[in-house]
Amino acid sequence: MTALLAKSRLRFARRNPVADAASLLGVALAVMAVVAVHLVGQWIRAEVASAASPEAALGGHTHVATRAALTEGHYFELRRRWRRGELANVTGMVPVVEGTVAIGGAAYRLLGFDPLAGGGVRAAVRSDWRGGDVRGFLTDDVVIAAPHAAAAIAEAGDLMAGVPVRTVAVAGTGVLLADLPTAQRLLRREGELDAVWLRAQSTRSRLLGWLDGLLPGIAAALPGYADPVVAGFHIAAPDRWQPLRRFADSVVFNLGALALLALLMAAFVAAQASFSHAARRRDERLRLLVLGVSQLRLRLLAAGEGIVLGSVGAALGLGLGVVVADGLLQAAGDDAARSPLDGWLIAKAAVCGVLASTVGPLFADRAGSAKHRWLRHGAGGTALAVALLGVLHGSLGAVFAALLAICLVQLVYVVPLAGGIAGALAKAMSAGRLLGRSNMRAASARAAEVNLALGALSVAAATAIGMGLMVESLRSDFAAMLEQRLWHGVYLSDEENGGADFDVDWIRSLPGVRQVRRYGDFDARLASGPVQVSLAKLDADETARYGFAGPLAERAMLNEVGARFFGMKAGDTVAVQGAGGRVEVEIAHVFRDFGAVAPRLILPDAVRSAFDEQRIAWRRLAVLAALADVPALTATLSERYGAGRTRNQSDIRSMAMAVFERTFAISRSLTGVALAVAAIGLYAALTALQAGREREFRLLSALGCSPAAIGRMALAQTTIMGAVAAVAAVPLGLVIAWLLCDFVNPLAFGWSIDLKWHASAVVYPLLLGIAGALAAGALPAYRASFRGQP
Amino acid sequence: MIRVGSGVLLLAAACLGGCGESTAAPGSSLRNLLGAAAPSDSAPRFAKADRVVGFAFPRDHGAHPRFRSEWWYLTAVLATDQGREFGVQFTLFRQGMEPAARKAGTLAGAAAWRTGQVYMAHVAVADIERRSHLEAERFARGHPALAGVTAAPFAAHLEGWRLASTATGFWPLRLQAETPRLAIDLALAGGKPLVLQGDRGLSRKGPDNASYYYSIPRIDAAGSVAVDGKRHAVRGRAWLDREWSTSVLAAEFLGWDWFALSLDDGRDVMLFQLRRGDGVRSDYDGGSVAGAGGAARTLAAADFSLTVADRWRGWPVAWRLVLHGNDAARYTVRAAFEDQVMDTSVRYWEGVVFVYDERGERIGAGYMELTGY
Repeated sequence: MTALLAKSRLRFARRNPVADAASLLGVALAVMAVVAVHLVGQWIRAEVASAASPEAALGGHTHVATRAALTEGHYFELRRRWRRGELANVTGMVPVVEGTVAIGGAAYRLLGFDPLAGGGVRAAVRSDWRGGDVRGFLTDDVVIAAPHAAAAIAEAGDLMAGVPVRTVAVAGTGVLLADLPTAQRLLRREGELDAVWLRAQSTRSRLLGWLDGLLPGIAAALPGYADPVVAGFHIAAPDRWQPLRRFADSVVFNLGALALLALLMAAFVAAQASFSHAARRRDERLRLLVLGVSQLRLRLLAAGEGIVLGSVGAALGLGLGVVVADGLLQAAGDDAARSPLDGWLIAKAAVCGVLASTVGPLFADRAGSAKHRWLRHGAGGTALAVALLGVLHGSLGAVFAALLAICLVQLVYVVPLAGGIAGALAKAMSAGRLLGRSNMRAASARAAEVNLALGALSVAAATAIGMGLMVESLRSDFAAMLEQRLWHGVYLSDEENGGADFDVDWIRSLPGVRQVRRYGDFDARLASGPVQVSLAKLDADETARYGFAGPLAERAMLNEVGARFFGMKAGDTVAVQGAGGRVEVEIAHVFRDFGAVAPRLILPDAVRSAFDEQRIAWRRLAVLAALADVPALTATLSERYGAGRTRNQSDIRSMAMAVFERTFAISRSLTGVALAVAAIGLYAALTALQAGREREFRLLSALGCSPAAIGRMALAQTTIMGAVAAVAAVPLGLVIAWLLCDFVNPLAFGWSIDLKWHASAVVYPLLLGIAGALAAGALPAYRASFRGQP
Repeated sequence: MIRVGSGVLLLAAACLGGCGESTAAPGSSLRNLLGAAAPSDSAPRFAKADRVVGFAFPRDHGAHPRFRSEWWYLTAVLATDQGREFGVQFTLFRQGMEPAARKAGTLAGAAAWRTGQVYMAHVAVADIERRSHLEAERFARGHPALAGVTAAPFAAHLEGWRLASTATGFWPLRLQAETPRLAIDLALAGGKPLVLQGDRGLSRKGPDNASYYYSIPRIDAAGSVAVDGKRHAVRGRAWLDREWSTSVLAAEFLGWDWFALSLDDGRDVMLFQLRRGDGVRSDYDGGSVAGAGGAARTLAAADFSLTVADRWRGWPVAWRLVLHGNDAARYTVRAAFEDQVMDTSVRYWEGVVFVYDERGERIGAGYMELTGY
């Protein structure tokens, strides 16, 4: 019997070499997409997260505990409570003090922590640190710094804040690190703390950690932990304390979502390829059954073939994926070292390849059966319910689940429904025409496998539309904000000397200057976290820049990010502590601040007396002028203060937009990859569809149809199908865009985006989808035209 | 006792691993980070245990920050009234980052954090009936609110785990330690006279390696142990070991096997053997026998032999012990149950053993420590 099976298999391979190759190619391409997206996501996550918050690696803390006027005494009491088992899920804690120190005129962020307190420093100890001499970290004034910061300290005579220090240069350290008492001493804050970092672990966090390994970035914006409740302390996720992480998370989350999409597409494509392959062998299997081969043996054979095919395809896909990822990153302008293949990725590729290759044939046998229909309706109904409940619930996790669920609804219901409607229309239009009826019959006979491929294409196009609309909406809001925020004029900033070099009287005397406005900055704390404070004269002109009408004499403005992090709104009162003073002010307005990653509070100039003037950096100036005078003014100011400190409004706008475009460039590339992979999946399905019509084409040829007519008929069929899938993607794309703008972005990142219609965001994916379907159908149609010949 | 380099080795893991109650892998050595590596020219100069000194108490119950490492090691074999037996271990390790003399006046205002000391504590309960061994580990820097040792009144503590005098003198002591899975609360009193190990307390482990080492065997212990929330009233015998040094063990040794055995006839035996890489027995193996009356005799390498009788997953959990000379006898020392591995930053085996005579009768109990396997 085994000999018979082997003989049958070999005969099929000999007669249909393309079928096996197509199946293998389908699996390989699917795995390639998964690998490419995974590698790109992983690499970007590492880079962005590291750049945004290098100290986050310290101890892997998950929460920040703080309270007003936190002291060491509070910390020791908190620690005692933890040791007594009163803090559920908390597995470690580290006291932290942080601040800014000036070295050679430049400001550096200094972070002091107790390395033995419970977080450990293993994660922060890079390879070059391990070999370095950091003896005395706990006993002397040792500061660990990036090489450039270490050089600056050396240049300053190994002095920081007047204190002799020993420096250890460690690459990749974004902030200066010191033992807690060293940092307290350098910041002149002995006995004080800023926060206690907590490490909490729960089943959910472990699960999300696992998920993140599978799909890098996907857990970035999901609530990873049930925040521990600690009486007397305010507990927040670390990104609220270190909001730079939030921006990193937003990028990483987008990539994670794309990775998920790629995985779904890949699974569809691989399943599609093996499904079509199995469908072609239906007759062969029936013959074997008649010859006495048991159903079990046939299934084992199919599973064995699937494992071999899936493994070889996965290996090929891994290699291709690495090449594609490399290309994508190079296209994005990055030539740094790439992420290596890790166990997660290899396992993911292998499982994706093997599972899809073995599951596909099983469905090929059962597609269309009553059981299969029930399964389909069960899955579709559940997805519909999850989608509705997710939106109604409105939490981030629920909305994310809804996003996935509506993609499934699209696959199960929308695409087949759209196909049915299109079919009915086509039938009505081609009433009585032989070729039209023939197309209809063929399409309905192979509805299951074609619908799967069309569904994948449709979901890919919809995601591209949704992402595109979200990005374009964000882009136009961002541009509008810049337009509103940027006056005509020149902006001077002096990070090194805190604005000491600016001669305001001289600037005022320059021709064309209408006004000179000064802005002071300092870091401060509210009860529930840190905030960047700006001091400005809040007259009606200034507040208009932030969308508020009228002057603010004693009230303040808070950005959206801050409002969300601190749970505040206009009308609330905040106590601001920092720069040697404290003031209570009412929030008059919450303003949009796209791209801002930290809470920002703008205080009226009137409250400046509440702070130590010496600790406010008046380092920014806005020199307002008529548009025509700006170029000359820019040149004059650049000449005196240097081009690095001088920017006019169009410079700032183009720099901001460049950052924006760069951020989303890779997202667009990855969406394109998903569309291409889906089109390839469709190609596999259409090839199978046309191959199965060989007998029918012969009959049509015998009835007098020319090969060209048959080819046109096949092409028309595939094009209509692609168009149906692409058009069906539009409503789903709109829903995805709505969920991203109205739920995901505000919930995850604190940015509200007005969803706007952008034809290009819809038309391009639509055209790409149809073009993909056309391209996918062209070759099968061409081949079909010859199948009809006797 | 030769809990030796535990201090150095285990603390080496501490700073890089960091932890609360951790079972973290040791990872890289703390030596690079905190300068606890073998002394170099630029390393802080700690005092060395290289001559016999007279011990003075209560001072020497406290810390010796001029020496690099030190430990307070209490083990106990206990039983309920119904005869259910438990073993208890509490260890506080101290590791100096710099000699105490150097820190004075270095950092005004930060002195509480700048003690220059790092502490690590291990606690364990062996539930012999259930063959279950629970252990936990904590780290902290020397700080009045976190960890430290005082001589008078005596207290050795690390964040709630505490071995301390409860009166003005050294005795009685109370041991308290609690984790989510185990709790120990023991009152400790009496005990045999203090045994100075080695040459009047100078315990040599090599030509240039030695420690100061004394023991207090046969301490009366009574109180409770709780395992997974169930508390048991217990009483039994405990053993306190104290040791401090700067260079306690030469690099040629792979590890050591250490025994503290209380025999039913009133004798208390401490033995250690250092295992060399080449398999040759070390001349510095040693021990002591404290008679029922308290008089102690030092054992040299030639006075005893230890051979492995049984292994479990590589750990030698049963030994044939032969004592020569005045105390000549043959014993078998066997683990109360095999799995008493301390799965902490550095893995080692530390647990309850029973002593059997040649007829197979149980004639004593104690603790065994195996490292370097």
